[in-house]
Amino acid sequence: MAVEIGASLAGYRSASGEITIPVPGSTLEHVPADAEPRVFAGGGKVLTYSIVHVSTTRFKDKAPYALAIVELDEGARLMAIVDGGTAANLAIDGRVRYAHSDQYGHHFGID
Amino acid sequence: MRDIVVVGAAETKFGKLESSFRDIAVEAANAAMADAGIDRQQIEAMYLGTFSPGTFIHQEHPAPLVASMLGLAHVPTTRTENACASGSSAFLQGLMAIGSGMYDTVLVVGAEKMTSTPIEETTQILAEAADWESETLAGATFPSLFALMARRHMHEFGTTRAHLSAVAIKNHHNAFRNPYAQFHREITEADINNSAMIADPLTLYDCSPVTDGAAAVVISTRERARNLAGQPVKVLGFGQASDSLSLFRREDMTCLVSARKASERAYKMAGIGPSDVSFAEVHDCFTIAEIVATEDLGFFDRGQGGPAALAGETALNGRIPVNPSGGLKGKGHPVGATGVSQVVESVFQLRGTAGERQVASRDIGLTHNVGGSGATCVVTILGQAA
Repeated sequence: MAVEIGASLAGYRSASGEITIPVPGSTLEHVPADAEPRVFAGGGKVLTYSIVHVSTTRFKDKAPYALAIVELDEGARLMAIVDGGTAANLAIDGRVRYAHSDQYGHHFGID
Repeated sequence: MRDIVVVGAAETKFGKLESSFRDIAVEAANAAMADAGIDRQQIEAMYLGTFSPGTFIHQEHPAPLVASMLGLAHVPTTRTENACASGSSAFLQGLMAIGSGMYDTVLVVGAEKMTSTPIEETTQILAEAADWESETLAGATFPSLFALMARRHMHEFGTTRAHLSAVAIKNHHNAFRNPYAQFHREITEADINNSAMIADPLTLYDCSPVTDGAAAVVISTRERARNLAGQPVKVLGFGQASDSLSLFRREDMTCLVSARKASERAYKMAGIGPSDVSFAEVHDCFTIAEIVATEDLGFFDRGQGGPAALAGETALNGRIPVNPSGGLKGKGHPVGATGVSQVVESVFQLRGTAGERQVASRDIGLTHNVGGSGATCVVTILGQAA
């Protein structure tokens, strides 16, 4: 079974209690047999953020980009890109909303 | 556990070196054995800390390679990998081997050859020590992980740009006095403010450099050291702890619980507290990391690491000198060598042979070596053998 990504932000809760929201292309898209599927509404807040100027080779064409740790309203956390985010318009505790997922992971927009 | 001493210590110059991985590892190891006044036939085992020779120089299985180049025929050799704490993890293996009575004399080497790899590849290799599936694939780099901590630390405690800069300025000042260091240039606040942004709020001068280098120590028992030429330094305590590999899974992103736990264990074993420490070599891979370390180790209250650095409390002549070597920031950060190099510097300081960067009070030295964004931490405490 694989997590469906695109229409909504989906993940699962493993037997150990850890919530995983798999990045597209990662092996974590395979849901363990004893895990519970979870779907998230997409709203959340920024716990912290950085504008990444020097990236890995994989993200070379994206830099600079805004990277954030987002806490979803349901309590789960993930690392994600905030599209359009800058040092001027991002803030800790600022609201963001899930937009889409692609080869660069999950994308949020400023809410 | 038996009494353990470090009886030999040495390192190569750090920086962009022409020499190969094997050459620098051998250079440091031979120098450490010479410092101990020991013959290679007396080495019973060797531990090699190195992070990623398989990607940096396409060489896995490096421990027997280095041992054979040293003429250590058939001794047991083991390579340790714990990201940037690979060197201190090798040191801990050596301590436990001696302390348990398994061996009487072992060699610990840390080495990394990084500068022959293009910088974007290096950024990617280092980022592989984060949670690849949940962080690196989502865009994280190591500077960005520490930038995320810095931003949160600033938010919760009011840490400022000036606090971060004070760490970089101090560590370049100390490195200027260290002949082994990569950088021999004092820097100013203006240099930092005008340098390239790497991961906001961290600029180029907030980041440790890409470095080649190696360091080595000879560990033995107190009894055996009495017959050796090297001036021994006693191992008073050590501790290791781990945490979630992913930064976002940690409840608190403004401290490293692994460092708090590892130091608690080391302090307890040594029978001392933070106020007893004379100086510390801490893992300042980024300026914010030194501020967080000085709080985690109990030198300052939460949120006070930045103001203390700015006030000069961690300077060479301060209340608690931090990174007299110049730290990772000024001395350089050859990943697998760093943890061993911190021990080497502590031995030099405790012996009173650190030259222009010698600290005044040299009773007890502490090393703090972090792997990943804090998933691993090793703390050791060294003191006079008396």
